[in-house]
Amino acid sequence: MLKKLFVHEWKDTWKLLTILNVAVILLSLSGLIVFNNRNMESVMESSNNNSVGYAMFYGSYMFIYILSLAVLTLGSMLFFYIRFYRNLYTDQGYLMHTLPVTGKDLILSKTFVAMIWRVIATVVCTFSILIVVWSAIAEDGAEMWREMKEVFTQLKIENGTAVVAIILVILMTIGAQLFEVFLGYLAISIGQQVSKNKVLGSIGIYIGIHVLINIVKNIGTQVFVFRIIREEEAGMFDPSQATVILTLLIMDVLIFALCYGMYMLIHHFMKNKLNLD
Amino acid sequence: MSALIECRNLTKCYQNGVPAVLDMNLTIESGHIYGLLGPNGSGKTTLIKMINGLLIPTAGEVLIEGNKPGVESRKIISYLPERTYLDAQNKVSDMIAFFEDFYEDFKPDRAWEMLENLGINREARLKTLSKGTREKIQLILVMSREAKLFILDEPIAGVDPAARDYIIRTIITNYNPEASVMICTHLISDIENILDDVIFLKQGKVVLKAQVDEIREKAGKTVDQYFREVFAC
Repeated sequence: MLKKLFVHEWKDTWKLLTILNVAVILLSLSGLIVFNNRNMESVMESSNNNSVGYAMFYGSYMFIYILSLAVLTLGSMLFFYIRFYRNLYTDQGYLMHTLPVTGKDLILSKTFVAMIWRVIATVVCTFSILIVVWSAIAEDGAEMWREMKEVFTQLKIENGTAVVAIILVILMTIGAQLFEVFLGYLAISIGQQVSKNKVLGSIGIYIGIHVLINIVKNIGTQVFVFRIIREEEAGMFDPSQATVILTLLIMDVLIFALCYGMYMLIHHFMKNKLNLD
Repeated sequence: MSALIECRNLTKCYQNGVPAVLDMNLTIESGHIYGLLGPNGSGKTTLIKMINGLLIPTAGEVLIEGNKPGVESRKIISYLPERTYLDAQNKVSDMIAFFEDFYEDFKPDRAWEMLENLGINREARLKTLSKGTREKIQLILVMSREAKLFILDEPIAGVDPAARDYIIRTIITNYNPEASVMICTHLISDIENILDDVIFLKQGKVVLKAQVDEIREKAGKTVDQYFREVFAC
């Protein structure tokens, strides 16, 4: 049943998200033309009136481009939150909650689809920014690339360690996306317990959880940094690659543990506290 | 006749503390058409939602063939809520495919036949159809299952008399006589001819559970007349 739910969820969401992703890709590719047009650049550098027009053109392009990135990243997340709410806690919930499927299947199918699109959006945004930045600094790009290579060489990262570190960073990125998805779902699920204005309640809970987690995160970071400073003062600090890997590993475990906790809470509210109006 | 649904000391209190259903004990058997009747706020919809697992009881329990509401009970209950739960962005054919995918007892041929009889285009998007047509599609989807229990919450409310006749005809011609149907409505006179039994609810409690023929014989009244007498303000 999970597979069927996944397929239907995908069918209901792919069109809009494909459009958003394709729009960002097209805008990025058009950046190649905009920034690589030396003729336009020379006109801009000249003091005639055309330069104002070209400056406005570049400004407009950048505005639209940044807006498209914002819509893809924030808008798609909002889209999945709204879909979760509408599909499970409004009139459509009367159908979804009477299907012969478990609550876990409902949550997981929506999460899988949201995660796939979040990962696609992350990849598209990353490459898009690289393309646009590369186009904008094309002349200095080669030099920048050489400097980056030099920095990596100086770090003397062993190949095996680099692979592990990259895997851990990728896992952390996925974990962070999953965390954001579950955070919204959890806020919506808790928000259903509010007697009046469940949407406002959900937003308030979302902000509240976000603030709480940020406070805990900041305290954790400060404790971590403080410990490093103390160890460094005592001459006990080990800046080895193993320390970096261990730190990344702990962060990965923490983020996935948090995600699992939130998933269980979402399921608890769906199973034991469901109260469709 | 075996018990299809059993409510044991079932209670539901909302957040204001007022009980919508209070210490209810009720048995629903197979092979009957029940009318779940009562004035506004008597607990009809709350009871139906608890049977379907859409509301969690405050106390007591509801069992469907011995199971609490869940995956197993949803396989045998076909539920028509008073709300329109279909996603308006979808096409009629999408919804047929959806029901076919999730309900093993769904009969797509039956659904297509009923849709064709109504002249509904299978490729039409639901948002382009009227509210009444969407409600009919929802009823067709629900009645195209070979379920053991059909629960219909206000299936004829807010529709014109011709549509009411169509809905009632759809109900009686599509349910398996071994199954049970529970119809919750205020429009008693429209449906009383198809009912076997009635359950009167008042302030969250069952005040009467009787056969329709019994009421007619003993009280010498129709169910509608008897209802007006019991619930006279």
